[in-house]
Amino acid sequence: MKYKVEILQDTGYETIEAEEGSVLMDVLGEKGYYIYSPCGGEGTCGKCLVHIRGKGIVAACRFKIHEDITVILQGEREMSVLGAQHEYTATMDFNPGQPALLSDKPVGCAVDIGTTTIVYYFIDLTNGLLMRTYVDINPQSNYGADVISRINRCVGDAGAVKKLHLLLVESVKSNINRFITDTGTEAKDITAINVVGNTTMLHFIAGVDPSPIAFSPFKPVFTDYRILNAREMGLRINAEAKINLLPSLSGYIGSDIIAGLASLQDSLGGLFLYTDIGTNGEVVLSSEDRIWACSTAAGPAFEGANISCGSLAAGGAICSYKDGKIKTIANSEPDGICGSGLVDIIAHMLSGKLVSPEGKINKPFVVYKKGKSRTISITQQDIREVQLAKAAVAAGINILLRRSGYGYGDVEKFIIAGGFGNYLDTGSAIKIGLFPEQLNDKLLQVGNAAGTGAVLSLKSEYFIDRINNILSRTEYLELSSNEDFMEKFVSNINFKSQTT
Amino acid sequence: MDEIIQKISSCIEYGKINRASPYPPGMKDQDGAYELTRQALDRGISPSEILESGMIPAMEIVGNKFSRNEIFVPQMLMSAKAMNAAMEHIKPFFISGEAKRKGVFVIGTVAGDLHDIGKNLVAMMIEGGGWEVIDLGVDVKPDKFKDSIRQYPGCFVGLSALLTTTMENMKITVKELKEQYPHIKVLIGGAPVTDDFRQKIGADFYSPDPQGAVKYLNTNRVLQ
Ligand code: B12
Repeated sequence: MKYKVEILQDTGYETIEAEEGSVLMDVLGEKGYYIYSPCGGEGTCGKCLVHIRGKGIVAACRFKIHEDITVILQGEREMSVLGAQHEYTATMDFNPGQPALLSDKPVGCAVDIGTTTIVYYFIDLTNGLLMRTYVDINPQSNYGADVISRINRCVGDAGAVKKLHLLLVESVKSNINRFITDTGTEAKDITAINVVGNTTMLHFIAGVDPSPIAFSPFKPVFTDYRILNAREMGLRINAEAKINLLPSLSGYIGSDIIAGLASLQDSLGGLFLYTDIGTNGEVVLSSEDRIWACSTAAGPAFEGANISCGSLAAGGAICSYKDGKIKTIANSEPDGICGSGLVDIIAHMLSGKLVSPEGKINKPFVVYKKGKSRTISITQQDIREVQLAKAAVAAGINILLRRSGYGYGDVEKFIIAGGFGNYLDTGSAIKIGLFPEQLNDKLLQVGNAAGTGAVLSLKSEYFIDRINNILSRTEYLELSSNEDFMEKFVSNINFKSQTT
Repeated sequence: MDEIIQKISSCIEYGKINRASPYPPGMKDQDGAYELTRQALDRGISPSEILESGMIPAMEIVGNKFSRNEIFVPQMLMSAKAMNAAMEHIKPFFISGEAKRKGVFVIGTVAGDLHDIGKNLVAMMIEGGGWEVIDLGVDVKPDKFKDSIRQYPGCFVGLSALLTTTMENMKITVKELKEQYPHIKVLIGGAPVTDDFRQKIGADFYSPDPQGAVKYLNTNRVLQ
């Protein structure tokens, strides 16, 4: 019995055949696809990760073929977003504390629960090395794309809270099992799980009804450090292992943002901006003493939602567009447009005067013709969605600066965290006015800082001090009651800034 | 039509508030809606003529352009500001009775929701359509709407909601208002709201944009 294996890679795609039960890494190797596997296919290094459509990330050396599959070989680019280190990562002595004492081969798990994806990092607590990284789709996605829709399911329905809680627990369970299978680690050796996420996700994992977050005054039930019992949650890991939820600031500034900030080096010093552009569009301004934070509610346009041909950043999504040249993730045939592609295309349209500074187009802009039946294009409404989203972020930046009394000239760095931020072409982002032109040479893309923060919290028990220090210095700005917001927002909707 | 009324009209259409305003660049250093309305009144043109032949038709053009997606929020807001500037001179005549409004429109963002940009635009466009607008602000509980209904008999009510979660409060508000005042007409809108939802909750009218609401009010006011 032979199966079809379709291979998508940065440089092209092809379909090969494979025998029933053959190991994916061998099949790929025979065809000349080099998969980096320092452990030589022993299943211990976790470097040979590939993405199988519909199945997620798997270790190629462990995966046996029993059906037709599509393999997306991660370009180095893809994995680097998740990779926990960059030059601005805080350096901390390895000091894992209590969890390292619970076993002689202790392993910690750091989890970053995003609304769309969940990332797992397994850390060897004897030396601090990263053993495995797994990415999972948040299984709650069937209950709505954004946190508000999911909370909406829970209003007056305790059953739904429980259900959404269990979905997250299931994801944690299955990724722990995957790790155990992949590495031969014993369940009892997993001695700590440290979790970051937006405030709503933290409520769900704790099994707490997040409803209050969705109604004015948007007060969460908790923001403090929470310790859950792994056994009570049904996780059969080390009997004394704890699940630590890192603290948040407010309903819309979660521990993902705070841990991300804490993961940055002290030497960054001075005044810097920090943003993680997802659906909530959090923006933070940090000075040596005080910190200001707000959530701009940009919406999911940059995640491809509400865009006629929009898509998540997955295989087939147009992720870059330069002078009419299209690049897609995994180099497969264009299928949709993800956030970074969208920003590039609109920047291109602005340069070519295909869209007016006010956002008016004369006809839809055709990006790609897919056979006779389908065209991938940008419509008038798509432009409007982008205008609203980028104006919200730009207005948030304006307001933080005004509140702090600083100007653009005082800002030394502008840290862009998160997946979308990492792939984004900063030139295009400035062109469309998502980021201010004045900060052009100060932009720094750092990948998944939230995940880095969670990992650091396993590596050092003193990391929590950094987090508490940040929390004690941060003021949350509620934009809903901010008198300047409407003016700043509206004056940033046009592409050419017409700030008065 | 008088040339000056024509001019007021184009100031409103293109958002020229007053002489000092730099916007739009093409009308720099010219008189704006504010100055021209004063001049028109000084020349003896009646306030209702300025309103009905100059201001309202201009706002209608703006509203229609917005509905067709030809202009967007900033341009509509500039037009509304120009209209407000002209209205400053007209307002005293509403009190004296020399000029009349078409009726009263009460609007607010429903309980639990603080989004008001869309609601503000709707309020401005309806005011520009010749209506008196009572804006109750954001996070408005049903009782507050009821107070206004008692205070302005025959008014129309508009509800705005931007959150999936507060659409439920919109439903509750409509229900409460209709129970106590069965003849009151309730208009609803906001990004997540649809006409299906309107039907489900028993509201009278849904519009994705302000101009639809203006049209509805104009055609239904005699019936009230
Ligand atoms: C600006 C904005 C804000 C501002 C609001 C400022 C203000 N004073 O209103 C701020 C930043 C404060 C804000 C806050 C929140 N927001 Co907000 N916000 C937005 C944003 C970016 C634009 C909304 C907007 O003003 N659009 C422009 C106006 C003109 O459009 P409109 O309101 O739809 O109105 C038009 C029509 O709907 C219609 N209309 C409106 N009302 C009515 C009424 C009647 C009677 C009629 C006829 C017509 C009508 O006419 C208008 C003109 O055409 C959207 C996302 C987006 N890209 O759209 C999110 C969005 C609405 N927010 C959202 C959320 C969740 C929030 C928060 C609860 C959480 C958060 N931070 O993310 C908070 C709450 C407060 C807090 N804790 O900060 C979500 C809602 C998701 C959902 N499923 O419900 C959105 C969709 C973003 C997202 N996907 O996450 N937000």
